[in-house]
Amino acid sequence: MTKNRSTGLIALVLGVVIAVQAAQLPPSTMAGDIGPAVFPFISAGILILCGLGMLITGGVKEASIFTKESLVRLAKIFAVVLLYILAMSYLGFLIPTCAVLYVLSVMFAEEDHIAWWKILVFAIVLTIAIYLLFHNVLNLKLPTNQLF
Amino acid sequence: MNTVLLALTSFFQPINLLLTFGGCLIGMVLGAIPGLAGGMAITVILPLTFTMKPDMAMSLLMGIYVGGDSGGYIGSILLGIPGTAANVATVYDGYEMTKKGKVTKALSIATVSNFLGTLPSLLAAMLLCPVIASLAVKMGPWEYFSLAFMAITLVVSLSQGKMLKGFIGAAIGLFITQIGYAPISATRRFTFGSRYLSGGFNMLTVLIGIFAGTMIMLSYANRDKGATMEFSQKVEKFQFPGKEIMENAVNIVRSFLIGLFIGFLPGMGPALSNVVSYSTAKNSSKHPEKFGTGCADGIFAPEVANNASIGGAIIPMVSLGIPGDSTTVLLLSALTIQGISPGPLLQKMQPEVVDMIFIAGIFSAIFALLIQIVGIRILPNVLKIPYHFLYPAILVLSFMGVYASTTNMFSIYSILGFTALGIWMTWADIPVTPFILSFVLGTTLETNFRNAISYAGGDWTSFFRRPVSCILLIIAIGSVLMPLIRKKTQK
Repeated sequence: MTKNRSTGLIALVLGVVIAVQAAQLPPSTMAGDIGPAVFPFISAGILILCGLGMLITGGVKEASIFTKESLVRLAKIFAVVLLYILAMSYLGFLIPTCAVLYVLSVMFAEEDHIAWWKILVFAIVLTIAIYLLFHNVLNLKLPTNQLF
Repeated sequence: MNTVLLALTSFFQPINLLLTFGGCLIGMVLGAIPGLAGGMAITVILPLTFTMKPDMAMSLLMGIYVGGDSGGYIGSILLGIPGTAANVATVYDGYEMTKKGKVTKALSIATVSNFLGTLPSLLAAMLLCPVIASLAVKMGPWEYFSLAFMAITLVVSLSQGKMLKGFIGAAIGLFITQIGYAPISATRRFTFGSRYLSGGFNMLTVLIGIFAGTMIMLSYANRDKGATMEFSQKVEKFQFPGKEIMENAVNIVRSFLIGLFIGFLPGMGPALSNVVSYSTAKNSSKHPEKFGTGCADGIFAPEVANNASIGGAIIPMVSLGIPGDSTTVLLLSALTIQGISPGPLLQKMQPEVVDMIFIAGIFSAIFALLIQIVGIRILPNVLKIPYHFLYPAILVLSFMGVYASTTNMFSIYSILGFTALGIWMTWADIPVTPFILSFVLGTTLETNFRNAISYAGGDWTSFFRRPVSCILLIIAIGSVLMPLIRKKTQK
């Protein structure tokens, strides 16, 4: 399936799902109001029409912006960030942030051969700086440790 | 006039001046780095403003906004790589001039051009906003709906050759605003019983996922590490380009007007104005053959126009509450967090707040000029900031900004979801601006549409019976049909 056809298909399916969900919404509580379902129906309508349009016209094959290698890299960085968020939900801000800064910096630096201790110093200093800035100076909340 | 004085007195505190200056510097540094659009600086700095007083927050934000639009030429001139899309046309002559050994002259011209674009455009906005706002208070829900609708269709119609994708983007953006409590009837929609979803998605969550998350992950995936290369030319002290300004007086005024007007139109901002202004300058020049070989005219045109778009873009944001591009969307959401909601009512009820926005902007323009003149030899070093430190730092800072404003982990997971959406949209070639604009305007659209129908006693034709609303709708429909008709006739 070409890129445009699969995009059209996704839009079509999304449109149908929205429409089905919207059909179950209750009528408005206000007299004279057209109700909460009209706008979801409009979004769904646009998605269904444009999705169909792309299914019909999208037969031309187009180059993807991704190669096999870049898809693997994308999955890798996505997994790292997901792990970071998961870890932060349990361990709080400090440790996961320091770790993710180190890992991401190593990933981005790759062939540049940056000394590991430089990256480690960067990760520790930035983590502490953000912590002090948010926690002590600005009085903003940061994720907290849920385990111990 | 009184309100201007009032705003001036509240602006003139050392802390506000310092914040404006600092914002300007940060904006300029981040705006200069290729790949980081001006809006990125606002996302990174945003958490700092949460606990600030509104006047301090406005000073900082305007500094970043103006500074962010002013630093982009450095990459264009030194490396031939534009810092942002707003500086694409600056490459044509700016980089050529550098290759000829006149890098200092090129930077000096661009510096002066920035100022000549920003300052008058903010003054123009200051004069025009009250006028537009006083007209806008007379608008009913019909006109508001039609205006927001027109803004979205104009942006969709710009996605040339892929209008269907533009509409898909807009429809997804619209759908996301429908998650949570519906306006007017307060019905829960698409929340699937989750209490996190009942308030809908926070604007910052969506913007950071779509912009920062997507940009960082894609640049890693595609090994797109920007332009951390060395440049050999030595930059000298600032040289005031007096002779060039005199020769380019007409060019400067024309570029200014183009920039102001294009900035005012929704969705078009500096990314378009610099290119249009460059080609207009070339076409109306007495020596068009010199363009592209390193002539001053070719630097003045894009750099005046892209900065003039600052004032242009601020007009609809301040006077109507309708932002035109992603940077003003971020600025608008930052102001909203401060409890300032731009729109005709703000102008009427708190004119001193509106004036404060402009005064902070004007001082940012002055600071930007000073920083660029004094720092002309230091600023190019910004291009050497390594991406392997920058991107992880931006990721963590923007995540924590969202956490600080929502205080729940759900919003952080949502960022990842919107990052995935952003990556899918990039892959599918779905333009992001229609998505963002209809996401920002979705609730305005729906509230006004439903109010209008209910005021008119269920009469759907009321949108066409009111002249202003009718004209706006005709423009909206025309903007979508025109490219299709043109395509047909060309065949």
